[in-house]
Amino acid sequence: MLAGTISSLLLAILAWTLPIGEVIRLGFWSYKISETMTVLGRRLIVEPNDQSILVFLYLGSAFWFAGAKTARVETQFISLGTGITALLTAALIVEPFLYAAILVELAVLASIPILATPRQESRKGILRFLTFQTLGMPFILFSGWMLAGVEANPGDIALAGQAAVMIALGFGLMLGIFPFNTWMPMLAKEAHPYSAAFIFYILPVAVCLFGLNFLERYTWFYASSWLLVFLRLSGFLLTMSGGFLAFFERHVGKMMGYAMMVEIGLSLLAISLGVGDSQNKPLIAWFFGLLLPRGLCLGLWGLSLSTIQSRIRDINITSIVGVARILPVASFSLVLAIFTLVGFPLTAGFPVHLGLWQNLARQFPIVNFTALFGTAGLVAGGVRTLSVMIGDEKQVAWQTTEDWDQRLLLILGCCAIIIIGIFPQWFYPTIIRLANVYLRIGL
Amino acid sequence: MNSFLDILALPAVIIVGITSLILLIGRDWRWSIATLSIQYLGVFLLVALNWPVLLAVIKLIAGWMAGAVLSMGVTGVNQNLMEKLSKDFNGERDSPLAPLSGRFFRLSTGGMVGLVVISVATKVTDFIPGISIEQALGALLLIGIGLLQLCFTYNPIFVLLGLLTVLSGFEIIYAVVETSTLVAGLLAGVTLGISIVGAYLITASLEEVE
Repeated sequence: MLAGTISSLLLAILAWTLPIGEVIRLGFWSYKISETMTVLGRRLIVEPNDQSILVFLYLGSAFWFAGAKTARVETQFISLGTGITALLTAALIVEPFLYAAILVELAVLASIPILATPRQESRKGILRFLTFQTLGMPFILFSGWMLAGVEANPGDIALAGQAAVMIALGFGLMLGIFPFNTWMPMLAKEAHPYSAAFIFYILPVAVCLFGLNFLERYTWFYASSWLLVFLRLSGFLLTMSGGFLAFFERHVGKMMGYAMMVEIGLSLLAISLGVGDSQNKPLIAWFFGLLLPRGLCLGLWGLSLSTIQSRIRDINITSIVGVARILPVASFSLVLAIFTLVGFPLTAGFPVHLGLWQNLARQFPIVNFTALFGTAGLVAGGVRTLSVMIGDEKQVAWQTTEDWDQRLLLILGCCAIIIIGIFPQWFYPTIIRLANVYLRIGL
Repeated sequence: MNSFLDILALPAVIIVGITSLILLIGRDWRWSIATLSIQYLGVFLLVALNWPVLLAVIKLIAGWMAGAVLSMGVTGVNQNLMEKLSKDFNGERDSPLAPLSGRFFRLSTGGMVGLVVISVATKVTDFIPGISIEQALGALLLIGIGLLQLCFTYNPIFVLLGLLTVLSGFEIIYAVVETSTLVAGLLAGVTLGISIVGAYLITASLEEVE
């Protein structure tokens, strides 16, 4: 665990500090880190504005690896997690960039051993996850060929439309856009909560960034009204369905899957703010702003659920009655994670969600209403979870039975969420700056 | 050489059609993996219509290695448990007619997919320049019946066989538009990765049953 965390931190520091394409002098030695690495005739290109994403990905990995031992995940989590991060990084910097679909698929294959453990009762969710991700890859690859044809014949509207459908299906399958989202709650129920939360975080982030690269490459997509409709409709369906189903869900693990559906929907809505008019492009930075609270919350959610599940195997709503009385830190962390994801005031998610809703209300009020409805469903699920966890007919005395490392990490996570919520000006401007560098805004 | 491969194109379509239907109705993992190996022979013949033979043979070798990995994963566990798991996943009932009616249903849906494929194959040849009618038929059959396979079962072995079938169908089409060695290698890597993951899932499932 320590080696994985330190190596990821080191890579993040190197990505932050090492200049790319410039000569570095160390005493007698001088060397230059080239922007390009050629592998079997294809290039991996890291431009200076890509460094911010490398920092983000490896800092995120370090954060997850630091809690791996405490969460009692499988031993291969760190090694496979490092491999997944490396593959997803390669997917974002490979040229031609459509090869990213194959690299994302390899990352998905590498994630299966950390999601599928020998003690699981069912693997339907994992098989469905694998199926949808594998089916998404051919659509993206084939759309690359079609887009080459569109570039050669820009006037061929029919071909452009067909390419758009292929891309929509490909990203829909990989991101879990409705109706390809059924694997999320199933996976959240079956897999170890911490492992599932890690995959829920890193895979959609990488695929969304790949999608943003896509938009950068084919700038005619930005002005496309079809894209705006697709993003808004997908976001609408995901937030509505995720919130609605979370309202009725009785399994706390599956609720994380529905929360992820709402989050991906919000991400799509955030990206849609910058599409259509080139003057709105800086608004895409709201998507990057969502990543910080999401990462913290998913990590906290995964860790608290693993702590609870280590004591109470079944985490159905009927089984966790009164669990707050014996696991108060884990229970509080779980509820805080849920409320942060929905943007409760004084939590890390509030500034971003508020800005997102304000901008959505300006551009498309109906979609804003559905986003709020989705979060309301999650809030209801969180309130119900809280009431069940603290209610106990037997009136067991309050006590903390978490291990010291579980208590420490959970408290640190809660403090981080609250500090970021109270002092967002310390953190979010840096993220927005990184986002603008990555999107080449203002350059 | 090309004319020889052109002669083998139609037999290759027949091979992929029959093997995909056998995979759809089959219940024994041994026969299914053997059928998959034959199916990849058909895929190789169809891909070799556009690719150099030495490049197309990557598909064949990757497919056979995938089958070998899956069979090694399954043979490594207790066969009684394997049979029990197969029954649990396929939802066999006590009625002696249940397996027969199930197979007939799958065969008929496979036949319907085949009819759809025959009707749309010509449109695919219009859409993708350079693709022959045999390649379009073979690829669409694999994709369609592979998707049916994915819908009918949640047994890890058969789900993975279905995924490999769909992927091989896509690879036939993609071989017409993309001749890169790296892509061929990466797709072979994906094929092997799916089989390794499948072997892991099968082994992990049966550890839990034990």
